[in-house]
Amino acid sequence: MSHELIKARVASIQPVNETTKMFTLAPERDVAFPPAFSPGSHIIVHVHDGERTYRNPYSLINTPSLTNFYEIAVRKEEDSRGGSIMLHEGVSEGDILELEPPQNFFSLDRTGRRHVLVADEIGISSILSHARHLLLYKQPFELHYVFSSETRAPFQQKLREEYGDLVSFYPEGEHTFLNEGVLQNILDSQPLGAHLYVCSPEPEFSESAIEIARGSGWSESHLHWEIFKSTGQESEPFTAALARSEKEIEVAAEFSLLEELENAGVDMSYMCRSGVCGECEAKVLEGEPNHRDSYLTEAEKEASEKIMTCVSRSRSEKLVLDL
Amino acid sequence: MGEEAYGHIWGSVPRYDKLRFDASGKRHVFLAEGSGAEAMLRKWPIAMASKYEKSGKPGHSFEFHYAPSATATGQDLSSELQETLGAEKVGVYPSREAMISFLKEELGRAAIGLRLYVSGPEVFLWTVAKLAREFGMGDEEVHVELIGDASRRVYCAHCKTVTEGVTQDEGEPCSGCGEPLEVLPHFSRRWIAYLGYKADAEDPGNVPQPTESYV
Repeated sequence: MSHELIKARVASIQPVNETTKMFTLAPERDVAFPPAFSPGSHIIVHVHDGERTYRNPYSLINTPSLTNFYEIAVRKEEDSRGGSIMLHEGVSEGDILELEPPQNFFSLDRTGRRHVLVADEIGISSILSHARHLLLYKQPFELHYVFSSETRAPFQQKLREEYGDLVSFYPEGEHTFLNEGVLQNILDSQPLGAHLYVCSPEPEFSESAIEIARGSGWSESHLHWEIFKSTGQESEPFTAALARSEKEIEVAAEFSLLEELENAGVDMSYMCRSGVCGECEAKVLEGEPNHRDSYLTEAEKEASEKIMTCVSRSRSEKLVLDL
Repeated sequence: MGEEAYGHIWGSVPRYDKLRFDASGKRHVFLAEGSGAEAMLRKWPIAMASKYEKSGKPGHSFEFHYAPSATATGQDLSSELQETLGAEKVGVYPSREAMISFLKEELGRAAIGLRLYVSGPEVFLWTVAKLAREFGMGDEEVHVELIGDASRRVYCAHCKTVTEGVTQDEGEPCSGCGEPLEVLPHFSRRWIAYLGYKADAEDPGNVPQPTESYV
């Protein structure tokens, strides 16, 4: 499926810490970026590596009202996605990148009377534009930043300077924060009409946080979370057999099923590439999917008849898809 | 023409069911007007309230607020409520306005985890629901059950007057322009009113006979 692409010039690359770099992207020549984006938006950056194209979603971290440039934070790690390594190692200032215009699956609820933002490690990148917007429009909010080591906590200094008392840091990591009542206390004292936003690279973090909120009487319409991870240490390779086109595709640990399908020339429809929009769904004929999306309901996940190819993988060695 | 004549029920028209316990909440606040108190006198609110009271466990709490007021048909159930639920648990208000102004203060200082159970005349239900929305509550946190006066408020599409207490779906005059109103199956939660327009607009002089009444 073809998407409208915008050409952008890498205006600057700045290290944020040992593992994270901030990329500032500017419109190439006279072509302007779309006039606005809403807090929580991400862009999808296309990075070419030989024959392969990575299409990775990155949250926009600049102030949403400033759209003559885009800022993204890219973390490089052993288990990070191929596109991120390429951006770290293969892209220099002045290079031209292609990107898909901003879209938002993690927007602020503007009826909220207070906004509680919770970021786990690089999850901070999805939360920054929310915080900027709320500060600018003087909306009541608080930001909680959880991390297990300094190298996993970009923007600490900047946050301290910009947000003062509105930001709290939890360097003792997720266990204390989630399991020893820290988050519970934060949530119990919120006023009626408060909204919670959680972003973490780990689905387990977001799920536990949301579960704690539910236990404190928060209702579904006030809970928002984003997860972005499709590959990584826990990912095993598997085979995807395509029943209709009679093809077998090997899905390597470092690539998502969607990426391998695209690489094999299958015309897949997609939007968010982070398991929330439902666009890249495929029908499962045989095998047991390992669901990592937040789109399908629990019952649908149990039924194993559908899979979100952008983030979900397989528990069985082979997955037969109706493609 | 009744709703069915349009071929489908429009999504905005409220559908009512009996109030049920919402276990996702922590603090359960019941608000009733007139004969709406019947909903508080059912088995489950009484049983749940006393169960959590006795257990002394933190978790769920229950409160009851009642305005006998309004409707001609509704009898005053305050003493029955106080006897059954315990006088200290039941707040009694001289009017709808008094209860709403209490609620407004309460919502302003309430913590998250609140659930509202509202029973009584239709206009009362949506007056409470609208206030809850203004305080950022989600629609799924507010449960409503129509008991008693089902007459409708109707917003006139022509003169923009809201007519109270409309009981017929065709032909009742607008209190502003006097035109006979047809009440459409569209309910505005913001106006707390159904949409009405001139019943003989398409065929002047020919006002259809009412097919349904709302009392």
